[in-house]
Amino acid sequence: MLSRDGRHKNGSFRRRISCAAVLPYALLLTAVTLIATASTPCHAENVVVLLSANAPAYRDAVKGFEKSTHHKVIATYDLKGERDPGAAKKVFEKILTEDKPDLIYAVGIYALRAAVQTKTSTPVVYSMVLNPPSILAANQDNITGASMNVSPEQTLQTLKSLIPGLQRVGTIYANDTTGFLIREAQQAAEKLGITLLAKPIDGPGDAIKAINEFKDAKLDALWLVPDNACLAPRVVERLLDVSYRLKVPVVGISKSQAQLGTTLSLCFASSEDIGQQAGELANLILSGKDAASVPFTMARKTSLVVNLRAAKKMGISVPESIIAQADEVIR
Amino acid sequence: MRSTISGKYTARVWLGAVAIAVTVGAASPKARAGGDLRDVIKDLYGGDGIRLAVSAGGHDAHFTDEAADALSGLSEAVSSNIGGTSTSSAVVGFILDLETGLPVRTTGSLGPIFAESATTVGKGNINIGMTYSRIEYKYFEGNKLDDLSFRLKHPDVAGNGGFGVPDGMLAPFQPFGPMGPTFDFELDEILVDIDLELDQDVAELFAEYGINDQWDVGVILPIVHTHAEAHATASIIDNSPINDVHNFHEPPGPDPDGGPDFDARTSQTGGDATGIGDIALRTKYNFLRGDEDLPDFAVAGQIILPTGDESNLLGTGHTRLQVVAILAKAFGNFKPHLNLGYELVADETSLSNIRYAVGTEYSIHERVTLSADILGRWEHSGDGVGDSPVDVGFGAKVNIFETTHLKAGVAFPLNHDDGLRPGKTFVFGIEHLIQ
Repeated sequence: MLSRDGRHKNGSFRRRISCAAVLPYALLLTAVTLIATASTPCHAENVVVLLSANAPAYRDAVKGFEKSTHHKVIATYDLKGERDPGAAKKVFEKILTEDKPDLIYAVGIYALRAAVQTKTSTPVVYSMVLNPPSILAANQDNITGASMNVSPEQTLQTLKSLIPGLQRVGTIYANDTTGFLIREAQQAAEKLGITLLAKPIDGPGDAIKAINEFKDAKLDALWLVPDNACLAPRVVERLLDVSYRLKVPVVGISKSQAQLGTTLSLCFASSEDIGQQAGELANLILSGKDAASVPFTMARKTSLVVNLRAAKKMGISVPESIIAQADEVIR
Repeated sequence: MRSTISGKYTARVWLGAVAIAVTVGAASPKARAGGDLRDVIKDLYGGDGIRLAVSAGGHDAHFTDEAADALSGLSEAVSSNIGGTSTSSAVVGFILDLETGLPVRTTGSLGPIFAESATTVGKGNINIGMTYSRIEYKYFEGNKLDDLSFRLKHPDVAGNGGFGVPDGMLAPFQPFGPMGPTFDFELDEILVDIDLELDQDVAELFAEYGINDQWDVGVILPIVHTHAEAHATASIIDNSPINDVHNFHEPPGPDPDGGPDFDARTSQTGGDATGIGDIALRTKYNFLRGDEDLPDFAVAGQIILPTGDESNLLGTGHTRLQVVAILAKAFGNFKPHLNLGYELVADETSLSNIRYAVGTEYSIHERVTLSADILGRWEHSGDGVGDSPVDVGFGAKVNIFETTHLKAGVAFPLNHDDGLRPGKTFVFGIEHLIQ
């Protein structure tokens, strides 16, 4: 309301202008402060890297880790492919006592095994490990990471894209190693309306017997899981033999298996990306999240190899959509 | 299992050792007093050939020029056939087995001894080491170096083309028929027996750095010790019916140098030299590795600089460019390999040559690899001396500790009659990969 006193009126107007001008600036300043606080850590925590060996894939994983985390790598140790658990454990203990890191980034299976053997509350994030639940002991709440496994759901979905009427998929597995994968696959299969016929085995001898039983199982496809008991050459040969006799495609886990005769193979595509996933997990833990509440991840970038020659022998016409997404096509 | 910090410390220790060795070796060549080792034969008898005494009848030292030419020619031929030695690197690396998730050693083999391996050291890694070779030269053109001999003919004093061959004798020496009368004393000859010792000790310090996983650069610094010693006995062969035209001493008498008889004269020359040899700058690019069907494939390039003192047999005196294609493929415990390359000798193209090494490695244990190679080169525009030497080499490499390897080998010539050839060449080495 204007007064007759222009000065008062003007004065009051000036005061209103001042308040109106300051408020947005104050809000902006607050917002900037909040964003800055959220995106910039108060200080970088110390990370020690433990490599299983100096392999190019592991170095890429470290590169990816360093890309995705702002925390500081203060030292790198290399187990040089040391398979002796005692020697690897000593290195791990040395890291704990001498470097006293806030987090240990364990790259590869030997580094993870060293972490598993050592009692500590220091969080450990691993990467480049297949089937991590088979390595971790119970109640190891300080350990999580990024595995090399491809999600069973993605594998079954890819198979379904290849065979739209897919109903029955057969696989063999060793419960101690890939049981966790099969349990997850059962859930995914249910969602996709697929029946997963998974036969547990105790070893390669058992595997041959289990594969022979698939002959009468009316399967639409076979799935080879990353399990040493299933990867013995004679087991893979028998699986391919059955696959060709029954004319059902096999989805394998590596390019070399596709070259051997599986129709599809699906594996992780980038060690660097798995390292990035590990870095993201490390960020969560070092920002205060409990490692026990951070589940391990599976590869988010995958590589698909399609063997058209094998598909032809199966009498399968591979859809263009699958060929388009394949990283390599064997013709 | 060492942190990068301690790894760098180890690297500094190694590099320090290398630096000390370089400093020691970088001292100027220590050669014998009085002449170059290259001229060890030429310098016999004072360097002007074999001089006879002037006879009472005024007959002069007519063998001088011929002897000087012969000794100089042999000296040049010997020194130009001394070449460099080869080195190789063995690197144990790891790759990830996608199916099992386990890191596996990239090769069951620790690499060849005498040939190049197709592997590279890996990004950021440094492979350093030293190779010691003992080379004892034993043959020249099929003749034993400790039993070289040649005959010097008397010059054709008369100028009639007779070359000391009397009319009617030894017709093959006179393809155009008798050239006329000749002086009988032209029939005399001098027989020169030479016992030559020529040995080299070569310590090659080398370092290779991985720019990335496929590409290496490196340097080889050889420290060379050469020992050359020649003992000669020259004897006059009196073919002439006239006695005592040619004598080492006038009047004839005992050899003041302690020669065996009145008609013989001995000479001795030689010494040692130590210094930097020809430094090599090298690079290698690995194009293919670990393929299931195709062999490992790499190309190595090397420039060898004439930093060694050629006159004291510490270097070749030539700038050399080498390009070598390397193929290797593992079949179980065997890993056959092939090196095929070309060496361009920049300032002496007649020495340019095609080089090869073919052989195999055999892993008898995770930490022990045996190797056998046939090595050779062929100078396509050579002068007929030392144009195509071929050697066979055997050796073993042992992984003694983490990424440290010892190697030992021995090479033998398969052809003694082509240029200057050693009897046996022993090679010992140690190398360490800093990761």
